Amino acid sequence: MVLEFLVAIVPVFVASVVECVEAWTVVVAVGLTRGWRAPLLGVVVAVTVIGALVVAFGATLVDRIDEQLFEVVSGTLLSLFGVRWMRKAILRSIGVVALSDEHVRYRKTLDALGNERTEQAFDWAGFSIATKTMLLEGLEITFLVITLGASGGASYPVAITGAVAAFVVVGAVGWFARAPLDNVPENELKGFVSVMLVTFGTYWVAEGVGVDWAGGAWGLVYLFAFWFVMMRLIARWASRGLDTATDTALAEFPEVSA
Amino acid sequence: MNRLVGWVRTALREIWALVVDDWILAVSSLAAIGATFAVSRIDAVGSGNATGWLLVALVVTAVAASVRRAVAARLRPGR
Repeated sequence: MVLEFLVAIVPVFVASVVECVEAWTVVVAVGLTRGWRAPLLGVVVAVTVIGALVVAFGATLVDRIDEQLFEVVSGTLLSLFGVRWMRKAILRSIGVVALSDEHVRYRKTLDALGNERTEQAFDWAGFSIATKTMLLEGLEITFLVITLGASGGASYPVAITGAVAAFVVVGAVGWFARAPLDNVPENELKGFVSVMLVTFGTYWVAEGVGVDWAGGAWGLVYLFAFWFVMMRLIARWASRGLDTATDTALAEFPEVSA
Repeated sequence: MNRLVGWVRTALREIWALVVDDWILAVSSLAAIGATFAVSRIDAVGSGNATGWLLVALVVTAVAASVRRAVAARLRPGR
C-alpha cells in the first residue's frame, strides 16, 4: 500500500516540478514584460486541456484495459521516456549538452516576444506562447500521471495529487519570486526522475510478459539502485572518451592550454 | 491560416521530440523489449528472473551506446 502510494506520487511530483519550472520561466518572461492577463489566461486554458486529457484517457485505461497488456504498454512508454531523459541527464552531467538554464530560457522568450508591452487590447502573442509552453510541458506530466497513476487501486488520484501539488508549489514560489526559478536543481532532478522511469518501465514490461521478480514489489527497490549505479557508470565511461580526446588535443596543440 | 499551420507544425514537431530525440535509442529500446517478449515465450526460460535482467541489460546497453554515440559526434572534427 505504501509502496503503491510512493510509486504513484514521487516520480509524478518530482517530474512535474521540473516541467512546471520550465513552463513558469516562460510565463514570467511574458508577464513581466507584456502584462500578466494574457499569459495567466494561457495557463488556465492549458491546465484545462491537460485536466481533460488526464480524466478522459486515464479513466479509459484504468477501467477497460487488461492488466498485463497495460503493464507492457505503459512499461514500454515509461522506458522510452526514461531512457530519453537519462541520456540527456548523462550528456548534461559530462558537459556534452548544455545544462538547462532558466535564465537562458527567460532571455530567449524575451527575444522572441520583444521587450515592449503590446498596444493591442489583448496580447495574443503572449497568450499563445504561454499556452503552447504550458501545454507541451504539461503533456509530459499528463503522460506520467496516466502511466504511473493507472497502475491500479487508488494510484490514479494520488498521481493527480502529486502533479497538482507540484503545480501549486512552483506556481506559488514563482509568483512571489517573480523571476526565473534558477535555484531549482533541474538537471539533478531530471536524472533522478529518469532512473525512476526506467525502473518502473523495465519492471512492468518484464512483469507484463510474465516475469516474477524476486521479492515481488521489492524488485522496484533493487532495480532502482541498479539503474542509479548504471547511470553513474555510463557517465564515467563516456566522459573517459572526452578526457582522452582532450589529452590528445592538448598533446598535439600545446599552445591551446597556454 | 499560414500562421496556424506553422503553429500546428511546430507543436507536432515538439510533441514528437518529447518522445524521441534519438530515434536509434528508441528503436533499440523497443528491440530490447521485443527480444524479452520472445525469450519469455520459450518454455525453458519463461517467467524466470533472468528474463527480466535480460531486458535490463539490453536497455542499459542501448543507453550506453546512445551516450557514446553522442560523445563521438561531439568529438568529430568540424564540430
